[in-house]
Amino acid sequence: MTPCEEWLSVLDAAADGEPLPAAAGRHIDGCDACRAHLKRVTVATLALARLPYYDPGTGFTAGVLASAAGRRARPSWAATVAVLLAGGAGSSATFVAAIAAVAWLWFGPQRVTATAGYAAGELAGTLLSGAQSVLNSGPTMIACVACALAAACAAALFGVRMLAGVRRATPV
Amino acid sequence: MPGVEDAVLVRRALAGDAAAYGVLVDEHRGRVFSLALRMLGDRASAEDVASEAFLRAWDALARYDPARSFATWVVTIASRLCLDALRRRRWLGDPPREDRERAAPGPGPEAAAVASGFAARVRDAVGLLPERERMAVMLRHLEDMSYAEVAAAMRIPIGTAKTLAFQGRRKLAESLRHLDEESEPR
Repeated sequence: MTPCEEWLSVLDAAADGEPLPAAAGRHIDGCDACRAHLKRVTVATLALARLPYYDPGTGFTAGVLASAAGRRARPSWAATVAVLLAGGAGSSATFVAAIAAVAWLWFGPQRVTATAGYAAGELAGTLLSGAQSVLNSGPTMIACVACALAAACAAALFGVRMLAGVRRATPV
Repeated sequence: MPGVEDAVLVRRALAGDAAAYGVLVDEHRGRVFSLALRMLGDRASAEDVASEAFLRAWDALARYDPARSFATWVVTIASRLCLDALRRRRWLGDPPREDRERAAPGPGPEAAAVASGFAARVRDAVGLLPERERMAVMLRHLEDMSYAEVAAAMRIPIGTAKTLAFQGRRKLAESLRHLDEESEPR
């Protein structure tokens, strides 16, 4: 027996504790299928409320407290990103400084300064000419580059969040 | 009133009394672990999620609103961790566990009562529901949360929470009807 489609949501709400409208009461008085449906859903609802809880076992609470004691407050994802970016920037700067120091000692200050100036100029020139060619090539190319940059940023952010395990589960 | 006692325990925990937090964990670990077990299907994952839920709650204890139920708060955290774990499993192509909570009941008279009869049928039927419907019916009916709370826990609109719970209950009622028909004398 299939209950009447038009009464289903009313019957479900009644099984959930909402008052049964008078019209629905009159309907189920004369409809075996709807009456049986209401009874079944009510029984299912009551049965759900009586499902037992299982215990995680001895040592669970002690384990949680031990972990809590040794755990610092978890930083927000923004703080994690900032720390990772700062760490990356710091490592890169240290690496570049080490190379520069070795070059300074090996080649002397004048040659290193000249080479660094030349390299910086070349890099800036390349970036500027790249940006200019993108701007000159029309809105489609600009949109493509913007999408690629946004996708790269989103992927980096997603990766950092997954690695750092900083999903927000705690309701505020 | 357990809610008032929970608020007192939270205050004591915030003041540095770890034992008070231990009482809170003892009081609510069953509901949190059971939800995780019914959602994830194996004890190891359920224990991981349950302990992580209590640790997240510990980290965020200062933000806990004593006007709300601690049980609802920690179950909300556990629900979101379960949904995250299920999402991660899908991304990683990890097949869903089929032995959902069958190995869960430990020894004892309660476990024996659950393992047989109508309760076991309900337990198995709940285990067969789709994940989101299963979570909605458990939060609504086992945890007695309002639809607004279910929606917040699952990060979905209230209407969707209601629809998921209704659909889950209908499927559950349908499963139980089939069982009744099978068991009727011929």
